[in-house]
Amino acid sequence: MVMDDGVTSKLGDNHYYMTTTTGGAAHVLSWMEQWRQTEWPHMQVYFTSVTDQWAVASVSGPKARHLLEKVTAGMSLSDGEFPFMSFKEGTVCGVPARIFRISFSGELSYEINVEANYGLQVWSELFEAGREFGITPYGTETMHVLRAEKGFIIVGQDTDGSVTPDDLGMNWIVSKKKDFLGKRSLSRSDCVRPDRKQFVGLLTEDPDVVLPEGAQLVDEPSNSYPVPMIGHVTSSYWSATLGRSIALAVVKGGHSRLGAKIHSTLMSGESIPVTISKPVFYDAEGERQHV
Amino acid sequence: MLKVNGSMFDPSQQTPLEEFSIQNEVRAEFNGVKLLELSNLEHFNLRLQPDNSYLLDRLQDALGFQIPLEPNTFVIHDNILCSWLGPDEWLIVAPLDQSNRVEAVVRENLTNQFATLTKLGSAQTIIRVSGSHAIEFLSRGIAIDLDPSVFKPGQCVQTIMAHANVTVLNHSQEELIFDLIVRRSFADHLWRWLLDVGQEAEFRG
Repeated sequence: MVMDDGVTSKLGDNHYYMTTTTGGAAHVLSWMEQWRQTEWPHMQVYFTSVTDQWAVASVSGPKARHLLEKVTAGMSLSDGEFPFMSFKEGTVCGVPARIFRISFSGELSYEINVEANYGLQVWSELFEAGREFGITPYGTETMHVLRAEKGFIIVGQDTDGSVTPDDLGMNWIVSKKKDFLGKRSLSRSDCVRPDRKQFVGLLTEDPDVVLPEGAQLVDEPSNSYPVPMIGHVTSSYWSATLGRSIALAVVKGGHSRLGAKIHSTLMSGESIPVTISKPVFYDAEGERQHV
Repeated sequence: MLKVNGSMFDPSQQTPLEEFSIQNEVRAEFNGVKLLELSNLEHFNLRLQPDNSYLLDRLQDALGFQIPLEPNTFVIHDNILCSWLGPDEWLIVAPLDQSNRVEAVVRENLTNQFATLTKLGSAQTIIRVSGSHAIEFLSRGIAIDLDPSVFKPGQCVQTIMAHANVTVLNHSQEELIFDLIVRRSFADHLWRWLLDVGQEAEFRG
């Protein structure tokens, strides 16, 4: 099952830096400690929590590279020399930094990690340097909308502990060669049922209607109770970029039902017609981040 | 006792409690109790196997002191603090003007050993609590018995204070002196909580 969503970077031959979802860090750390101490004591590995040591500023958007050019003292930033999913060590605003080219927004994005004592100074200087590019801060609500437009999940919101990578359409991330915890479970009969709840997008017939998160989904509204429930809305937003509402959901057998019309029910008894879509609503080819 | 000079180290850095600073110091004073953030220090987490006597000897030669193997104790040598945190885990705290040297000599000896050294100077801070009422003051939030007959100078303990994980070091000699090591994200909460305790009648003076 998907228990967390993070990025692991290789800093050296035997040195890794792992980030997790904010609320998942303690759970992931104790999970790894448990396996190391009880099942794999022969493994020579130490984990050290550095959550408080680093402050991170994510610089995102089409002009992100221009800003980085101003503050990184000659670092090579071209797509060829600093590609997506790589990292570099250097300085930002004169402060030692680890820069990760990763993205939760779907835009060209650099996550700048500095020691937390320098966090405010670097944030302020990035802001000054970014004025000529129209820099603006964005908060978690914006982040939620941007990631939902790209179909990026939030563990615990779009998943609930019963969701496999297959259910999310993320089979690509699972190794076909290596062994790993949970590998056996993925091929158990229950995990390969075609009617498992699977991660999809939902588009309302009326683009101005934003579905309530948590709303139950049914094939056909009916007054004959109980109405069989086929899934629920996990995330739902108004997308300013797309000029319409978007939603993410889990729907039984959803991956094979793209284009199907189903209904989202409301507490009032009314229902809203929606169409099942792919969960990526914006820039499906990733052209905005692979530049 | 870990000695510090009160001046802030680098104007571009912001310690976890800097928002409370007055004239470059984070301090407060109540009846029989003084609080001070020790800010110009680097912290390191050290992991190694306690049965690796080769490495322990090398580190003793390099640092000039023996890494404490006795649980819940710490040593201070040449103003460098080393505190036991677990059977294979220690905290090293060094003044900024010595921290690069300490880091270099430790790292040099860790090569090809099952051991790690991780900088945590931005991850946590130290609040020094001193004065004749220090034990009563700390006991408002710590369940551990801090009486000197039980919790002796040179001992440390990891516990909870006001819901925050803290490591408490006892530096007391003639004067009662305790250091609270707290994570950055809990420092603001703990400092405000301590200020609140200071408003109790006993400490208001």
